[in-house]
Amino acid sequence: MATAAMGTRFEVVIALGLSVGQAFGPADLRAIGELALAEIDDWHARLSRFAPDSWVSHVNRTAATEPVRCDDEVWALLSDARAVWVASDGAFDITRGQGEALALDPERRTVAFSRPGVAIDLGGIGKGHAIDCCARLLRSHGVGSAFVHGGTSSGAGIGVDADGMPWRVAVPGESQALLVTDRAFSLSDAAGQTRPHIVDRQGADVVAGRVAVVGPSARMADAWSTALVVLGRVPAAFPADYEVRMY
Amino acid sequence: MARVPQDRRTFITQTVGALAGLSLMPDLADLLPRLQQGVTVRVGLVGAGRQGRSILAELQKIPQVEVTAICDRIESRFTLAKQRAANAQTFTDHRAMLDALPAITAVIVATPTHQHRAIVEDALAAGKHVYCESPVAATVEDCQAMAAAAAAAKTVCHAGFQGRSNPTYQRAQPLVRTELRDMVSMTAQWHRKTSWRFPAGAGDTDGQANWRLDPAVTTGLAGEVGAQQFDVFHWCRGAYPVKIAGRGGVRHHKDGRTVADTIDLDLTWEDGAVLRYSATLANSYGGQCEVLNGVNGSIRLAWTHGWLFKEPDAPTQGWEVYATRQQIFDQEGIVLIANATQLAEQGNLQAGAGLPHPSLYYALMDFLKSVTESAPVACTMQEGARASIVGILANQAVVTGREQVAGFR
Repeated sequence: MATAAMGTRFEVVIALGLSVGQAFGPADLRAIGELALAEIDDWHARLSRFAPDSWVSHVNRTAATEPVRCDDEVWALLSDARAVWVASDGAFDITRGQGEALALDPERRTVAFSRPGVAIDLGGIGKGHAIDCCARLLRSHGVGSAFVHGGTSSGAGIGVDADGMPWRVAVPGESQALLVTDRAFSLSDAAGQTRPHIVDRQGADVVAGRVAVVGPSARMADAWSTALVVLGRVPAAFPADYEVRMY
Repeated sequence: MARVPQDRRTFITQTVGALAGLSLMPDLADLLPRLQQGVTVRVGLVGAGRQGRSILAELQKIPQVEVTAICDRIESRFTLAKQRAANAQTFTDHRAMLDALPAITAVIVATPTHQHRAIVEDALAAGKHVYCESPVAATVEDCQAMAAAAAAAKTVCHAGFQGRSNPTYQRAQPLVRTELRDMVSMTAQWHRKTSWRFPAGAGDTDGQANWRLDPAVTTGLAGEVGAQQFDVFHWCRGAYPVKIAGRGGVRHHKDGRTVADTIDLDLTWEDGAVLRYSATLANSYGGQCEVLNGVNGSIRLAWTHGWLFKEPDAPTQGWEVYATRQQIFDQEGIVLIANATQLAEQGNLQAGAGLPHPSLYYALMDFLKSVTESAPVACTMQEGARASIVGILANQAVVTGREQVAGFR
């Protein structure tokens, strides 16, 4: 099953007969898959910086004038983005070089900009976040074997595949696949892009480097894979429960 | 200091926007409405499913709103809902919520349709302001009883038919008379490829989770999605259809269901104009839209966007010469975006630019303005009940194959 969101195609594959606690028929699995994809559609609607009615556009219109309240879901997302910004010395930055102007108030759970002209862009972490939410929903409905990905560059595996093998992600040109049984992954590839999509801390296009990150959260893997392409090295603050491959 | 346009495109959009704004657009408050500072509305949400969570996301944007309570008979839904309203107390019975939290100002009802009546009546009896999702009820009797309860209440009772609150639709509504003139025909559709089946969560049963597919309680596609769109035509035309014919069947989702996954309807007004309506769960082409065709032009509405297409021989009113235009196939549409002037000044005016909030936000904001500022109710329960009855009759037309007669005046 698939949906078009965040400028790419998200797919969910659920293996029949490998569910936890109950036996699902095809109609049940379709219903669960649709609900999981609806989760991705919802996050697309909330996080798109291109849609004027998204939550991100609301923040970008409002946060320089007054603090904007965050619910627990977007607070966790912004907190992770801030954590990677700090740990990567600004290499991952949802404000494109204006990270110090982003004020997160943990007491009031608000986000504010300290000056006009600041905007957030969650393109480097939103896809992973949507995949995390999608995988969480699948698990909550007892799905024991599934794979979800967004545009093949970020994804998560639940359990093992229908043959009992770990979910494997092949990286083009590389001999070793990524193993993502109950893990998430993100691959950032700046090389050979006709339209570069990663910029460094000075705002220049990054045109070389390929990094894969595997770990518990697609959201964190997403942010870190981008940061590591910009940095070109693994910093000391890289989280211990994530694996990295720099190609 | 005025900004210097960066290029020809920017210059054209800003200039055109400014001129169109002078003649067409109201002030920014319509697009970015705000509640007065210093007021607080304590909300109890009843129904924490997908629609309830969407409502919570919109309420989170309004600083004057505190979601004090979330009520749902399925406790497993609280985990997700609480992520959007962390401080809310949870209840599994709406009466217990009303008894325990007298400070609640407003109750928002987003449960399955057939459960609305008791909650609305109890909330009104407790002196609460009420917002009820559309359709307001699943039977004609319930609709009439809720309209009567709302009429007797001293508090606000708002039915969630969103077209009446949507700034793009508000821009279009007077143009139906001034620009289209005599109505030729109307079409509308709701096309989405989805099973309409939901997995039962912990504590839920398949029957309860899939009430939309239960012929005993559902109003089908005609009621659950169609009524919202029919009301756009009621509002734009100032009248209700007098007869409804329909047909439908299970074209794609052959999973044992009997509720049609595809329907076609003809709703006829007293002047003979017909709305042809199509809804399906088997195809997503074209999505959701409403089209009104008059002798001088057509209006196409798509919730966050709207366009006016003028006939070449239609008289020129003046403002449209300068309005923002967008090419759609071989037709050039005048973009019905509200508040082009300010958006152009902010550099945010693009051809076809949509609303800065989802339609749901404007409906909730209208309700909150009625509660806090005594603003007129954008869609009363009486209007909501009529629109819901049209949906119920349309569903009966599909189910029975017999033409239904509506007696609204």
